Amino acid sequence: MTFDPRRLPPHGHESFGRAVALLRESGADMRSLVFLTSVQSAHHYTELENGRLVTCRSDTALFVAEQGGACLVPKDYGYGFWGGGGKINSVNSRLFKGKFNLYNYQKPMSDCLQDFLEQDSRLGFFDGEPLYVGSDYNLSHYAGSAYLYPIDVLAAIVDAEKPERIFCVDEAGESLEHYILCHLAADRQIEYDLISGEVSCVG
Amino acid sequence: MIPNVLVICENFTTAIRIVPAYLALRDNGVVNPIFFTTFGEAGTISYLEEHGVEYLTVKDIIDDTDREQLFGLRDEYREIFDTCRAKHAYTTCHYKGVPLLPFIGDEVLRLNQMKIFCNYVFRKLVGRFDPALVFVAYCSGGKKKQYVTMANHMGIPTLHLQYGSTLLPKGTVRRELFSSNYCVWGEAFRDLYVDQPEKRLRTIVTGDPTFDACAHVDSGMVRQRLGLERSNRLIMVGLCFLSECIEAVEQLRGARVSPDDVFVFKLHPALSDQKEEFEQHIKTAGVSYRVVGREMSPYELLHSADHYLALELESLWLAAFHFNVIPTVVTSFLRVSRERQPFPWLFDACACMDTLCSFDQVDQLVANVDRELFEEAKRRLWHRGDFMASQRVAAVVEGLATECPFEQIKEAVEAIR
Repeated sequence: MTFDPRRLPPHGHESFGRAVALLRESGADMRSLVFLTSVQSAHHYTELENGRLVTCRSDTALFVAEQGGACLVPKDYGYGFWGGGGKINSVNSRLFKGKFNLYNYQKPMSDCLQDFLEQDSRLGFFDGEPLYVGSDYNLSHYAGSAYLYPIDVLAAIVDAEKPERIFCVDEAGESLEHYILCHLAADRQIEYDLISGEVSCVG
Repeated sequence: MIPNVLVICENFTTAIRIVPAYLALRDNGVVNPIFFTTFGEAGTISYLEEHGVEYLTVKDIIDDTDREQLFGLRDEYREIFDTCRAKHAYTTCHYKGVPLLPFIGDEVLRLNQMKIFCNYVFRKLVGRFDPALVFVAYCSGGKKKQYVTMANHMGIPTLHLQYGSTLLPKGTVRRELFSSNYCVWGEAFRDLYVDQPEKRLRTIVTGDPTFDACAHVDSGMVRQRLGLERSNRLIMVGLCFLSECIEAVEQLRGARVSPDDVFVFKLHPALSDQKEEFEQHIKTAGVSYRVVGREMSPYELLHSADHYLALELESLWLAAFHFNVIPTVVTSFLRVSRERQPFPWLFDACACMDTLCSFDQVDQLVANVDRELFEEAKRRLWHRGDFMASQRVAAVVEGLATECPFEQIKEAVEAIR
């Protein structure tokens, strides 16, 4: 997965220590969501006062639970964990168990490709022949399990919790959560901060 | 002149549906079936060769000059694509406000280059065989969808044979289909499988050709291959996932099972290479068992089974009706409530138990099932429940290839008994 961080909507960028301080200052009434993107990012979760922890990764949720903590997880919103890197069958099974099956992504995928295809008619109709007629099941299958489903999960959490501020704890700033949340927050005019750098340097 | 029919099949699970119909077409001699499989996957090829299918692959269709041209076309497309992607990756293709192209761009390009390849190959096939019909058992994604799209684009009729049960819960979206004509297994599938009302008008009920080869299965031979004694009962269980296997084993440990009962676990074809992994779990269940991969057909097993235990809403559960085995549904495995099942009436024609821990009650539960309801469900699922589906599908193919009126084709199919 690659994306150009310069192309993300404007957002804050805090060190872990500064983020802990920000959360402390914000007070318990400030509705903040703190997204943990990996087990590493969860190591200092107890210091993250005044923010509700969220994770979409099963290993991270398990780690926090083992430490006696609690996270909001996709299941609370009718979805499943993602990022397991399972085989297609297990991805199907996971989506099927949740709100969606992969066919649900056929139409959204076709719809969101539409404006791109309009940039040049040869993108969709090449050498006199059609490349797009109706949906593209293989593309929606791939994009559905890899990206559209994660977007659905994060959007559902954000829309249900209506936070005033979102923190995303991501050491390298390269997670899918960061990319998606940054856009979702901008779209919903929610303050968003990436917490990156070495989380273990908190003193 | 005998019309050519282009039969396209890419994988094992569609080959088992379409090959019996191909063989019937070849024997009838009304049309000339040309069997094409693009890259000739190993599993598909061995199945085709086992059944005496004469097939073509892409190597028989394109030469070095074609390859040069294809490389040129693909490069040309890549250039156009990359130019647009560089300009518009973040301004277009949004889902819920999130730009997708930075992530899916490579996959879109790869799939579109594959489509360009398919278009080229299809044109070559049409140039060489001038088919009166394109006949497939899958038309919604990948290569076959593109071949069907091209056939539609070129005005060549297309026929899609049902290849799976697609038992999706009520209210969920279905796979979009693209052919102009359809054959389905039973009346119940007309609405469930075919996605648009206008396509349902061009749909004929034929049964499933896969079963035809099982018309004369010798149960004694099947039992012998499984190493069963006369006193043994064959309890069949279909498995689609390792997780359900682990759960089934856990439940069986708490069940009272007669030493004469042998559990035959049939793995989904895609899981055959994981047989040992499944066996590691199954051997801890404390029951007599066999684990079967692709080496035996699930239908010959069903033909010989004393009981079928259904863990999943899947094709074998439905196939049990064709083979007159009243299935026992283990409800703790069902991931969708009965109300959301696409065929809720099926449950009235099945035995049900909560978990395999109640296995000792299976005979009584099955005995309590209303036979009339079972027969009615069988008719809705499998039409006549006979072993003539290949001939019916062949009649549809021949009718479409010779431009018979659709009503006349339906009558011809209905007359086959």
